Amino acid sequence: MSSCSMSAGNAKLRELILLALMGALMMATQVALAALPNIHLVAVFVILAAQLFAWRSLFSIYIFVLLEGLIYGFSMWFINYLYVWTILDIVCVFFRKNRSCVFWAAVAGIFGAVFGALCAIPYFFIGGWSAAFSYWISGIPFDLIHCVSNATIVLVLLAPLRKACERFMRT
Amino acid sequence: MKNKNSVIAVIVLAALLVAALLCWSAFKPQTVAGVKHITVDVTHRDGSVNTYELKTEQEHLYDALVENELVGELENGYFTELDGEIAVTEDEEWWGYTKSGEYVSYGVGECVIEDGDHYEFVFNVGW
Repeated sequence: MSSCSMSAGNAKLRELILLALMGALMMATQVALAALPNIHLVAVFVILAAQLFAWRSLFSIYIFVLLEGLIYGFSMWFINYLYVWTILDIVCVFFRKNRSCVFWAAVAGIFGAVFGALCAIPYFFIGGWSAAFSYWISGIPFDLIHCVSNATIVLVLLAPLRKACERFMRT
Repeated sequence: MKNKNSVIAVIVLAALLVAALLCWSAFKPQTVAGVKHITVDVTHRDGSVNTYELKTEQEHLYDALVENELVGELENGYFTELDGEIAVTEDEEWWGYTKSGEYVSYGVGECVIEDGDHYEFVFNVGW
């Protein structure tokens, strides 16, 4: 086997390792921080995966979603999780060339702020506008926590995590 | 270009936060002062139903239940013990509630009670 194909093979293997690891870390950190509502590292890992691997980041996301379902059971929240993180991923892949941590902190904050509204969508089909609206309104305080925590965590962790991942990919 | 994107993102974030706060203050449930009479039906695992007529000055459902020693402590916004029966989360057991048969989008801790309200708690197994 030529050194070029070995090198390409190693790169693919490292990518696979990182994709799987990110999915597992999304779940592990979410469970570890479960006592703190809407404070977790999922958004920073989604952003990171999208920057490094573009659409392949969906593998990490759905590993995370499946693991969450296996741990917490499959109910209404699972339907939310099937699409809500993908929405963030689409935005992240679109802007993946942007290296500004301020930009990504704002994106993560925006996502946290609209998380409740996005999760209210199934309630529209269950109970109409009033059910979806009251669900969203009742969750606004949690959305605000989500917004601030996402923005802060991304601002602090995105750059060092990206540096570590890029170093791992180059080794 | 990248700085421009950052500025736009921060502006959008600030606007969203302001809009969320305005919506919350305008539409959040308003608490009701004074004495309220509410009815609480509790359907246990074995199908038996206990009905309680509560007279309370509390503003939220959970506080009214606590006042009447009907409910256990909240953990992460959820309670497991109601009317002496404990739902074991590991066995996929949980208490659900409705108001006059309608789905309630608030947890019991945030549910604002009004005079004449009727709540139904049901013991459930399976997610």
